[in-house]
Amino acid sequence: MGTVVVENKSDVEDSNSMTYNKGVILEPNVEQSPNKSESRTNGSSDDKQSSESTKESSDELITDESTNKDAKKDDKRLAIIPKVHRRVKVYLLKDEAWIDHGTGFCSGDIESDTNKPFFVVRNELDQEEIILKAYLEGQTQYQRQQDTLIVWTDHEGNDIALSFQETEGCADLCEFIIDVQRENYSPEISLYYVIPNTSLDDNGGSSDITQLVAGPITYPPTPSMTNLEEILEIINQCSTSVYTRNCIVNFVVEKDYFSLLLKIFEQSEHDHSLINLYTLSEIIKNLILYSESKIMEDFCSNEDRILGLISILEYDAEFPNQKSCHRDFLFNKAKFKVVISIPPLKDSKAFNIFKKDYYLTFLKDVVLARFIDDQTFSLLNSLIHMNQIAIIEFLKDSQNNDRFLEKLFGYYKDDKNVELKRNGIRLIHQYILLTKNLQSFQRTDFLSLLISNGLFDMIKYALNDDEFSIKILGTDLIVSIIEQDVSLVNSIDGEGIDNFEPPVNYSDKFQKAGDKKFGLKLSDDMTLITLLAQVLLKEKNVGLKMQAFQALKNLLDNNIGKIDENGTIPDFNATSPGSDISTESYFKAFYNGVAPILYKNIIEIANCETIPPKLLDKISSDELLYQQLCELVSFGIITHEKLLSRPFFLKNNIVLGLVKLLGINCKMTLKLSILTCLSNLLSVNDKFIMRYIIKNQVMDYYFEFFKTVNNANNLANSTCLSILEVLNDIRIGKNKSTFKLLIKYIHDNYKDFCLNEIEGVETGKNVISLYDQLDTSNLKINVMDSRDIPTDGDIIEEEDSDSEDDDDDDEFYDDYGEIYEEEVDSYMNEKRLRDDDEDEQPKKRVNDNDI
Amino acid sequence: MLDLDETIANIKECKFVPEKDVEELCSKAIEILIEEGNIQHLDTPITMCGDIHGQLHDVLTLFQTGGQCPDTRYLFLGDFVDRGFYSVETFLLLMALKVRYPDRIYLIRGNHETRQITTVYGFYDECLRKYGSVNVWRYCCEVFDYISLGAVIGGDQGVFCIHGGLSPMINKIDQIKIINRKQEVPHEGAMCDLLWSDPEDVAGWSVSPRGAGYLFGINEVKKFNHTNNISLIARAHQLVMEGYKEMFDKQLVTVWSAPNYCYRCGNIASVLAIDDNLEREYKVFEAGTMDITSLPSKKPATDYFI
Repeated sequence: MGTVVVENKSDVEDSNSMTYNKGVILEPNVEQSPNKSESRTNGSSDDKQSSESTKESSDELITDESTNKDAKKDDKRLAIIPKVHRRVKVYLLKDEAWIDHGTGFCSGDIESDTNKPFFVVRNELDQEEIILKAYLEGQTQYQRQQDTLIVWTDHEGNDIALSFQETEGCADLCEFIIDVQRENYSPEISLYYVIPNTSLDDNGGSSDITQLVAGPITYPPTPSMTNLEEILEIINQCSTSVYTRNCIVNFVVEKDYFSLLLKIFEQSEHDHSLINLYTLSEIIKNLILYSESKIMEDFCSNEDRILGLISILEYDAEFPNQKSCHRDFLFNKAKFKVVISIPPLKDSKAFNIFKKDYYLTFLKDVVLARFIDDQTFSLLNSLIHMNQIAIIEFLKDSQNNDRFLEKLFGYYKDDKNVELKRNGIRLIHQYILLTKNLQSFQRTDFLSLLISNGLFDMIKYALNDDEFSIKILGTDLIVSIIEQDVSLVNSIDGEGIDNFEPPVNYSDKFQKAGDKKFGLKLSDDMTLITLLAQVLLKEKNVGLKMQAFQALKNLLDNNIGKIDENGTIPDFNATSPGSDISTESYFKAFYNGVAPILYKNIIEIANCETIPPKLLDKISSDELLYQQLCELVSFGIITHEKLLSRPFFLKNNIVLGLVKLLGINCKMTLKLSILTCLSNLLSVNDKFIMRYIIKNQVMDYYFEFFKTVNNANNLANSTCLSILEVLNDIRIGKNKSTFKLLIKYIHDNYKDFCLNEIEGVETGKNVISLYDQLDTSNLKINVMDSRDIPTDGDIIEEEDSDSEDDDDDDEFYDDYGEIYEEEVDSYMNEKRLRDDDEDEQPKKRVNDNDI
Repeated sequence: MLDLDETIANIKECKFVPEKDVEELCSKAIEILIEEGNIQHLDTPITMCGDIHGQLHDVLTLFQTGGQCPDTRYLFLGDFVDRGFYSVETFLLLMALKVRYPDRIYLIRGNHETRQITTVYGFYDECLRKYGSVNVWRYCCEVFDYISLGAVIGGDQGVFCIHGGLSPMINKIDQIKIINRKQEVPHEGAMCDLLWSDPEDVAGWSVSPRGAGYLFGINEVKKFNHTNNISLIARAHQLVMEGYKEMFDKQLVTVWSAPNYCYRCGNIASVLAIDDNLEREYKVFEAGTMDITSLPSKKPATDYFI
């Protein structure tokens, strides 16, 4: 169908398309005229002489009194006939111009004796005068244009247009056309919508879209060995409009057309009829690309059909010399491994949901991956999704699945069958992966069910298994659980949060958690963390180690006690309304029980004069572990309660142990991790850490290393420079005395190096100039202070002497954020130094005018 | 031990590279990259390439257009991964070439070479799909952290190469030296700007619609080039339909090397060859047609457990 080009040859002066649409609706008098379609292709009459048509059209306007007032009308007829008469202007085309033939009220009706449908328009001033009566007959094609116009050419060649005052009126009468076509009053007529296309086509013009809404449909014939081309042609043509697509879809499903095609496929394959096979494949592809769930469900409704579908799609006309081997893969390579036999399905014909999952995924990822569009893709996805929900529901339903989970996890208590246990782990891993597509609460639900059935027994077994791939799965399982909801972890060994049983319904639990009187706390059970620590220490595989480290960090997230509504940990520093669970004993247990094991070698190194070769070997054989330990120092110092983390890292001399490694022969990656750790420690600008660094001459190890890479253009040099840059960036205000002490230390020991040997950048000079800018008159006292490092005092003492700092530290992050929010320009300005008193609140520094 | 030549040949044929080979390749690449400065000083002649985004087959066309590595020296301006279907293979190929010919191919980091971006734009999913776990993604992300940030080609009056553009915090190229680049690309600051900014007809620095980096205008470019004694800023980061686009009195150029970007943009791609006299030659190329072996498909696991 061609497009309608708007050509305003109307009798109204101002009628561009904008005012046209509005005018029809707003003006009481229908003043707009339809536009002659210049390139309207019309099945019944093309290029009629307009003079002729006008002449004939006047004949058409017969005053016909025969409005049916017969009492007997059947229900169907009544249902079709519009109830409301719609205000309309009638136009006829004459000499390329639309001539107004009057305004009236339009309705549709069906003659009760002949069953012939027609439009009728009665004069608005005189009900008795009929302006137009037009039968809907023959193969007339109706076009709906611009929401308010119905245009057609009748069988005598007259071009007629009805211009409705309201969109609803037009829609009403279009509905009438559709109904009479569908209900077989006039099965051969058709209705098209002309939709204006605002987007530009390749040639820069816009072209309207014509869409068939109702009309006669040619259905594909029963497939045979000789008519497949014809079928393809029909399927193809019908893909263009929603209406025809729907018709074909209903036809295919109702007639079980797919079975017929499958029979022909079998025969074609048997006869080696390649042409037929390619055509069949095209037919199926076209049908799938209809993107109709009915079709997809029909094709995939049982195992035989889906296999048939896959078989047909092995052939592809685009690649005539090749054939896919989907069947070979499915029958000979893919294996369904039954770990626990499930009870036979009640309906033996029903598609096994597990197989269905596999086949559908195979269809999506392999068979169809190449040609399906986004729409079909998501259709297939939702089909898969629905089935997966069914799988999960089945696994949860212990009554109907013969205690599946209970039996499965039971293996890990006593059974000796290793292969069975391993397959069980693979099975659970597979289904947990599958739940990633589910909604969060469904997932939590499923996971907590697994946990209450003994998932942790399985995980413990997995992590201790000799088979490497099983260990990976074990760690993966932990990560999955943590990512979903950290609080699930604490139900380990039946010791739920505050002795709650593992939450069955998370939302319930959350409501209770929100109620403070329950006084929730994280348990100090370190089973899982210890397992992960063992993976870090013993495992040689890089991927597994990285994964375990990530899991460990998740478990040690400081916000672990603050779980938000979704059961996930809020971002660091986020002010979440989530429940706040006491974490003190939890982190204490980590620093007392697990961390010493992790850092054992580092502690040993810190406390010996020269590092014994045995320890050196240990380090160089597992550099990744020590890189991770560096990261864990930064992580602990920055995010954990400092009264827990700081004493551990400082008192055990772990920082010293790490910087000592800068001098040994190990990979540069490890050394850079150590430097980054040092950089982080400095940037925290903590009084005790700074004192520790000065007292233990940590900076000596740093400068020693710096000198070996000075002025090299490499990452090591940049990292060293960035540490001095951290010092330049520290804004004095809190912790002034110890910072000055550090600067003095650098000035006294490395002035020459900083001033004269670091080339190309100002970093070294800037650090030294810090010394000159700082008031150093009271440094002596601070030096005394520095000897009094509270590394031996207990936590309570430290807290007392540190109370002032505490205030500062608590606001450290706010302060840090503030720096970054300031204009970048000012960031680049000369380093700002302030001589504020130590006890000034950092937040007040917004008044920066005096700088 | 890894046979690099064989690995390179395999990747070019889009064959599967085992996880342990990826790990070895990554750790070797890190050893090399760690020795490179944030800004590398490179000699001419050299050929520069913009974003390639996992379009492996187009990268092969790129090498046909610009000359094979190691015969031609290359500098890739970042955005190796995401969006295309072959991010894994593309990045592995570049890494393998880097390890095999460390001074014939150089890489600098693009804004897509980060954990955060790759989890959103495809590389993460691709690794998960192709390897069944995200270990390969983790290894590659480790490498990303070590990739240098930019390069200067040809010394005086040479070319400054960067993925995104300029930063208001960087006046002199030497200032880039003090960045500890071994980190996830931050959301703000100099390192972020260098990877995210775009040139635009604006006066001064203005807010970037991307939400990171800045827009910078002709004045910033001229001032930067004058201060640093360079004649051209070569960058990538933005799709240009013609493959390259010179701006600001030819003092800045955007090079784009992913033809028919995302397999649908219909654009041409180019590489920029800089000769010993610092003359520029743009070599354009179009997307090749895919053959059946290059069609995207994912093999599922063979075992399904019930």
